[in-house]
Amino acid sequence: MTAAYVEAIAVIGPGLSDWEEAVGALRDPSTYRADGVIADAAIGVPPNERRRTTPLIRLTLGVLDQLAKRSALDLSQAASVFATSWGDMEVIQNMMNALIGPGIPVSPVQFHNMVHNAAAGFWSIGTRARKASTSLTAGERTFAAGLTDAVAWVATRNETVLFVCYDYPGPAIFNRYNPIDAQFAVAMALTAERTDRSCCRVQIGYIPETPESVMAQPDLESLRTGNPAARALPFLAAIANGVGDRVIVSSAAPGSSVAIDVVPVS
Amino acid sequence: MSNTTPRRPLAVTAYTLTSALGAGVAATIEAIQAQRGGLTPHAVREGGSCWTGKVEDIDTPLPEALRQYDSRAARMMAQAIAQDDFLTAVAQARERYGAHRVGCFIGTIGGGQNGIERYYIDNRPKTGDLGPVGGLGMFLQLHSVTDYSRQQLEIAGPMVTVSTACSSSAKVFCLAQRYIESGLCDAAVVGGVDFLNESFIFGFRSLGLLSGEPCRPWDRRRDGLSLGEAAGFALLERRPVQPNDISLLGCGDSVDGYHMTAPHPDGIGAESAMRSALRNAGLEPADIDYINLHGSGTPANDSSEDAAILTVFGRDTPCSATKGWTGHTQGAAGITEAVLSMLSIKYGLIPATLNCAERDAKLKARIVLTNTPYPVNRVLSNSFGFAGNNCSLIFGAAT
Repeated sequence: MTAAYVEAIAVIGPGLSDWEEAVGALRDPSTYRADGVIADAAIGVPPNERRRTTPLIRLTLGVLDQLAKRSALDLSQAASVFATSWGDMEVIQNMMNALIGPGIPVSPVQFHNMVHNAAAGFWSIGTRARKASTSLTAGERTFAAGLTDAVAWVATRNETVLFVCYDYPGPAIFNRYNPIDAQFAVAMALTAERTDRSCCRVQIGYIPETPESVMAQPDLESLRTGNPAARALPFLAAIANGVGDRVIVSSAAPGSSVAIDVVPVS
Repeated sequence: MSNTTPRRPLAVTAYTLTSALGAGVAATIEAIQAQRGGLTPHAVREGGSCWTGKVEDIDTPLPEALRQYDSRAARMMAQAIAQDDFLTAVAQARERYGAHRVGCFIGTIGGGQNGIERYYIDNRPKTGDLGPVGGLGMFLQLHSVTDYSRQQLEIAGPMVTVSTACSSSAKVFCLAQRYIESGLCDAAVVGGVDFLNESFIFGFRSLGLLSGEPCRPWDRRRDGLSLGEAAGFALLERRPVQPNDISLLGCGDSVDGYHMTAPHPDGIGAESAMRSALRNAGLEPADIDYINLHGSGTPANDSSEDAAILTVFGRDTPCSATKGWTGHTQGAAGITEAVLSMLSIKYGLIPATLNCAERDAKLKARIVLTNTPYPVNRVLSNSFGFAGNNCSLIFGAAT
């Protein structure tokens, strides 16, 4: 059985500054306002480290900081899955510009931030985490792939897993290839056994291709389709509403969809 | 089920590799037996030189139907898929389990991004315009290499691109293990690809980690790595182990939580990955006959790995580093060295630590300097990457 319990959740997105605010908007979508400035999060990052980070890395560290505050677990002891569809487009663009610049000014920071697991690295260094960490992508279907991998880890290793999925708009010049409308990040702590803080049990399975679950409210639906990480929204809505539901997300596997069964436990 | 319960071995029913040593496993073992390393001099744009493990003869564009994926990465993958009866084995798995029950997990750092890099260097665009959508722009998405693989292999199971720097295509074995164990698929193609590119050449040079000589792992005068390129695949299946099978016995992974580019000096992350792989396989250190080192040839990496080996295995287990043969094939290093590890079992041969002329006396692991016939039944292969991402795999002969 590929299943896990959700112990804590955190979210950052337009009009969704944290999980409290997200719960409000997901329970009563008529209250959702997509506007509002999202603070550039860099919580917990020392100033000298901060200089080495990018907006994508700070978004990821920001949502993980929220998660750590909401969770009763020591997340530095958890294995982790970092899922991002496009990774850090700004870093790619800067690297390409360095390659055509006079003297080819490639810097060490630019170079190490190029790897898809850069955000995972900053997080593990910052928290001294040492458990296994996987950074992955499955294109537009990255949320489903990341959640599946995290739940499969919990189910086979009987360990707590931190799962985070995030994408950030790239430089304008890449927009026609990878349009990401707004930043979005979601993080959760997943456990093998129910804890007194568990809000639900999630069970993952592949099913024959089925239309995706969508958001009825147009702005939330735009957010869902405008960032691969925000494909999480129908799943988050099911959790926020506290009712059992089956959420369908499209899968990178052709002809299949991922079914996420959300079973409330409280 | 706890994390200390050994896993059932997964049969590796096919494997293939294209690297600087040649196309296919026969060419690979032949090059090793003939002591013909794959590193050649490489002039660096705007000054200096290094040595690289370059794949030759991959100039054929992809067929029309797959042309959108055409990049150096995809061409190397196309070559690898077509050799060593890999397609036949995958077709049999497809028949046995159904296409949707065969997963596809590919590890890469750059995917097809060399296409973009080439375009920038050749055209010096001011606007960053990569042409029409569906052209070069698709190489911004790392997952395009996995999408290409599953189309070429006609499989439709769970699909993930793993990108954890230089451990990427070792980690794919861990994913295959947990997906199969979770019942999400019955078989999995795992693989890895990365090509020579200037981001890495200038990036490693900026860190002072690119050698101007062929890399010399474990040598007293080692001064950095040599880059290489490769594409490789393996097919893993949940079925009873048969004679002559090689199996994935266990995998273990960890992170250092220490530094973005430097390994922990005491090798604590490497130690944890190796111990975790042994637990996962239900084995003791003494059960391992040979260790295929990460052995990148940078002063810090080799010394950190040496410390970890001593802690876990002591001084008796034979070890060698094979990056002097292939170069450091980046995100493809995991699959490259997984295949070399399986060949060491099949041919009873520990490959030399090529270019290591004078062993660093400060390093105490039992380093094998020349090709050595040796009965290898179980081998542990290490792959470590940026952000301290570590992975150890254990392969074994049927017993």
